[in-house]
Amino acid sequence: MQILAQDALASGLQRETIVVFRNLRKDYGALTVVPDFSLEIRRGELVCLLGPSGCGKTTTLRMLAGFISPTSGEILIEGQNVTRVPAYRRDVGIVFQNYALFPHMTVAKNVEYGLVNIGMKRQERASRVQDMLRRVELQHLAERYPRELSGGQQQRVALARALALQPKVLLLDEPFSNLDAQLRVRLRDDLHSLIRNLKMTTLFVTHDQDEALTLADRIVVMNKGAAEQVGSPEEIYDAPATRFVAEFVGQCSLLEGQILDGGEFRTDDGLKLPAFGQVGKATAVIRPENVKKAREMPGVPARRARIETSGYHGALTRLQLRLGGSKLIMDTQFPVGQKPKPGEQIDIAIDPVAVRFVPPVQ
Amino acid sequence: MNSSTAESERRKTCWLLLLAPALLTLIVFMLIPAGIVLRISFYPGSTTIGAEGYSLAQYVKFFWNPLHLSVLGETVAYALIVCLGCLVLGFPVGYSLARHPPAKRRVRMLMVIVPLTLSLVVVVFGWLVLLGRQGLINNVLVWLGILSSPQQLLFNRTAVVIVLIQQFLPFIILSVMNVVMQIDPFLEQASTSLRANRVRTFIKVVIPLSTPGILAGLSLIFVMAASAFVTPRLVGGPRAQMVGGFIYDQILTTSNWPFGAAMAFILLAVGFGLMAALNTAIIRPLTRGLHVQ
Amino acid sequence: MFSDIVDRMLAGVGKLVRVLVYLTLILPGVIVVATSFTSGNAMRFPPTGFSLRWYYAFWESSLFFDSLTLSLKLAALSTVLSLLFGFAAAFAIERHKFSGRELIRGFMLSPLLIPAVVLGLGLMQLQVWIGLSQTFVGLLIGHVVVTLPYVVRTLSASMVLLDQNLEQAAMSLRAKPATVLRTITIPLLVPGIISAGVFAFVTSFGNVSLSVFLGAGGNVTLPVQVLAYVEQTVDPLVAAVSSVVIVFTLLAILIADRISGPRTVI
Repeated sequence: MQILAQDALASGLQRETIVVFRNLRKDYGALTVVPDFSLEIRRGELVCLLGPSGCGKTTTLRMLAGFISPTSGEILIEGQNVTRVPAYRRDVGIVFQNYALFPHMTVAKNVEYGLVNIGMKRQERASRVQDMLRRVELQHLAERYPRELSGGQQQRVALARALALQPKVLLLDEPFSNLDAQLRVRLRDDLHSLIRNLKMTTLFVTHDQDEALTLADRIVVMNKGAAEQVGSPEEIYDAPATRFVAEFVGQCSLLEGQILDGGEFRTDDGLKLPAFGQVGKATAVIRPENVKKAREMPGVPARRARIETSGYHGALTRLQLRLGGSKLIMDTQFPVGQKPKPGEQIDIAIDPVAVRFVPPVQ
Repeated sequence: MNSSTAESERRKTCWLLLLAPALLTLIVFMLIPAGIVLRISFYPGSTTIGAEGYSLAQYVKFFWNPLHLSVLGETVAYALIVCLGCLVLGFPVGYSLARHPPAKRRVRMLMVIVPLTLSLVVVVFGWLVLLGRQGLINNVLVWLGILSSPQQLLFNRTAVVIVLIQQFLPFIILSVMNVVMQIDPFLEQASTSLRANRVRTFIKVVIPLSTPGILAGLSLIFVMAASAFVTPRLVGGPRAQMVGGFIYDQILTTSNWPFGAAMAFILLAVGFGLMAALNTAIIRPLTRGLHVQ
Repeated sequence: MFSDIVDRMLAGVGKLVRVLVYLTLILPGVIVVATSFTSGNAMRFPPTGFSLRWYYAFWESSLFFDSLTLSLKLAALSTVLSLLFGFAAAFAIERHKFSGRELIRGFMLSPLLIPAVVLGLGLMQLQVWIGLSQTFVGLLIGHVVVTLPYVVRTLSASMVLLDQNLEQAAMSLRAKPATVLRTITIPLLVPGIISAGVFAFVTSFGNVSLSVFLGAGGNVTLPVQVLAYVEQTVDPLVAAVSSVVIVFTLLAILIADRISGPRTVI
């Protein structure tokens, strides 16, 4: 019972809006980087701005931090309009891509920096610094200089430094892009649990869909300065709203065709799939794992496809298939030694429930 | 919107305030003095005290006197020779410095920078000692049997040119070094691996890419060499006069400021004219050629 | 192959030229220092005997010693002023993307292109009019004009290299602009500031071409005093004075090199 009550309390708190972007616009002369961006972030939420480089996600983040002032629109933090409030009065913590640790200060001094600026007493400062360093497990490195630390350690210092001031929002700018692949996954998990424990409202920016899918409560997929889709990782992956989202997040096959009366989608070369939605031109989005071996989907009509390439991805084998005039990607498993070779035929079935339809290319 | 324009106005004022001290210093104490020199050069008489009106008397006086013209011609010739000497001697040094690993560059860099920053009079005094009758050069030449007795090596044109070249060598060395460091060494390696030998690589890759930067350094040297007066005064003697020394005499010895001003302006015009000519004749076509390739 | 021989010959000639150039660059200074220790009365090389008598003579000579004090004072003050002005200007140029920025940058470097005779004469006339003629302040102004380009150039270069994220990080940590400047920007620019300062100092300390116009009367700097003396006579006293100048310059450059590395000096 108690647990249930806590959950209810937690979800009640989550409804409170912490950050509001309202019709935000940023122009650099004639160039519009962000045309019109709106978003609300709730307390304790971990929101991710995901998009290719140059999509305006970093500009948006920096506008929230107060480093860039928007051409028009508003930014609210806890109900207060901060659009014209300078960065140093915003209560926003930020971890930069290169961490931006002050090279002339020790780890402890870095973490203490913000506390000095708000006029905290020396003793209180010392205990807060100790506390923050303990949380990121760096107490033993307090007197080191940033250049003597590894990339992962530097990141934790940057995080401790930002969190020491207990900001209303934490911003992370491509936090893992400077780390090598193995370390990246481990630090991602560490960071995730730390932010969760602190119930920190967090906005982070990345171009890496894996990061977005594993970390975020909500993902904002950005394209050309606008939000293409906002939703949970599941929604973004399973039900992409546009072709851009489908292609940018995860792998997929795209089939051009028509939705006909009577709930049927037909591609230009005659492949049929059950469909719902508006009649007319559409693009079908099929994730590789939803293309199955025919015998795994007994009720669905089987089709014979030709294998064009076959790639080994550890547990999974990725096949590029040709089905009539269409190309399909398929992720599946084969017993050892039974992997099919290019040129062979395979009977497949497309899971009809998992197919999504998005507006076609103009 | 309104508050944002007000804020940007405020920030603009702030930046202007930061620029103001340096900007005002240069406007009041460089630009205005240069204007004053121009104004003075149009005074009719031989003094600025109580002078007024405009006349071309000073310029007429300069161009109508073959002695003045020959000094001007000689000055330009000196400056060009100095530029050439600096280029020939300084290029290999700057080039090798650029291709040196930074750790090995250190001592060599100091040998370039210290003479550059050392007071000119001290350097020239060093040359007076070196080239004097009982100086190192004379003693070495006598010891080698090249000279039978110590000779007067000072107070001639060659001495002036040598000392000027040494003075400006650091400038060209640093220019070349900076330019060459920006040329990707891989470009040269690529060319060498295409079986072009070092000479060809040099002509085809290094020279076109480095010429604009080096000419900028050379034109600075030309201006400084043409207006030099300390060196010609001390090592040139009466036989090797340059315009700079002439102006110095007019200003500080004869106190004929209007004539000095006119000559200073002619000097300035020659310098800037040469720079403009260099720019249109060599730098522009060359950089244009680079884009075409 | 023929081209290989040409290649090798060129490499040899290049090496010869380099040795010659480095030798020419340092020889005048080395000779001056070497002859300053002579015990004889004449400038000759190799010097005769060893003594410190000419340094003692320098110490005794109020003519040279007063000039040295003046030159040091002048160099220190013009360094401070051009650092202050130059830092503000470089900061504005590098941090504010206003139109005409390149023009301003070019203007800040332009004193390098104005011949000293032009600047000298113009400043003399201006200072006659505003009553600063042959004063210490007049001399100081001239030196600030000459040292400013070096300061702006060096500081601009080191500001470009400073990671702006650091300043933004500080700001997001509740540091006001003035605090950011004091605790982040300036401490991180210290190597650049030292380089700029040293270069300004040695440029002012060694300047003769401008000081000779502005420093008449009571304000004769050491280089001008040396110039005046050498025009009359060449003796080992000047060698001792020059050696002191060399030592000051060398020390300053070595300090900058220690702290900031040689690349940043220019």
